[in-house]
Amino acid sequence: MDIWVSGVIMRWYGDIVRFLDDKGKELLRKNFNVKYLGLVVDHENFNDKELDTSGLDFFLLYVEEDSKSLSKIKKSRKLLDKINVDAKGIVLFSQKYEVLRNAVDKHLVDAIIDLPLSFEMFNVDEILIKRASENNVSLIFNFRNFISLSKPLKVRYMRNMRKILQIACKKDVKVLVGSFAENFYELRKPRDLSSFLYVAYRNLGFSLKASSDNYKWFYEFLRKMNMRERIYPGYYVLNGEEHAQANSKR
Amino acid sequence: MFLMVRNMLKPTLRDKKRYVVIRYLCEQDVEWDINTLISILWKESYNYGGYSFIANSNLNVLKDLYFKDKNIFVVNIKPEYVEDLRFVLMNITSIRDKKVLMYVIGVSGTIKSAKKKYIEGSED
Repeated sequence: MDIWVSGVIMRWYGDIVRFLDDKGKELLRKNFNVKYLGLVVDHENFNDKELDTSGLDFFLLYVEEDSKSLSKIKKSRKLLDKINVDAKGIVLFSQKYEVLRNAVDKHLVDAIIDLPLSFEMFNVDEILIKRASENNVSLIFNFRNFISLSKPLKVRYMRNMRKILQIACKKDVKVLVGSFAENFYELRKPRDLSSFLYVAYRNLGFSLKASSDNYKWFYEFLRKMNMRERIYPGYYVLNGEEHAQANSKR
Repeated sequence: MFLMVRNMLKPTLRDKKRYVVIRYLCEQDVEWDINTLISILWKESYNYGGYSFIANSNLNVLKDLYFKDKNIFVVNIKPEYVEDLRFVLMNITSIRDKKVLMYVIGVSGTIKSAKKKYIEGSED
């Protein structure tokens, strides 16, 4: 089903899950019209031999880091090389501001997960989100984690999430929502997941865009990263002809 | 003798409605009674927005449009609250200690088109 928001067709839906079986894949692809499907795995439980990556668009490695040296992130970069998926990246969760800021500034991660939970420890920070937009680091919200919280924590989560989305919309940071399902009954329809953002921020256009176009962007971005075309602000990648022209001028 | 005549409101004064077609998938093949589904929906929407949400949204489960064989039921609600209903449905994880997945198949303006688009064509 196509959805029109201010003249743009919204049809690119995606989801991030923690498991992959045939029953789940069928539901996601046929009934839920999922175009982009990503799998997230804990870097501690990572086993490339048991991993089934068939029918997968992108792969994410979940890292929980609290040390300032960022040793776990550096190790997990090496683990990623063992996987045969086009697009792959690292997702970071940390409750320390310095760790998050350091990883985003140095562009060591591709996405930050559950930022509202991190913000329980410190105040909502505009600079971190601004740096995320400059370095193409996207924000991911984990719906499974939200459901498992107690009522007072849910309230805090939503309160922080509203503030984050307000800044993210202003700074043009890419936002994704995933079901992070561990079994069939935890799967959610991507169109329904966009309502999670709507309830927090009350902006239908933004929430639909986050569940559609941003997945397309994220997939393309991760694919480029694997092709080692890492783009920093102020630099751009030259193709073969442009390289030759630049060299001839010298 | 004075006769009580119940007049209908004019079309412009009536509340607008959207018919939301919902499917549930259960862990085991259990056919839920419509009243259990209604109670679960009311409980979850009360947790979400309290009495004011239920009252303002005109949330109403249509008992006649419950298809046991297809696990489909229909709810009518004001158009402004459709997104909130999606969120309420996402929060339902179990009914009587059995895992449940509920999702919206589609939203329609009339019962006729809801039946035609989403119920008659859907698989069992």
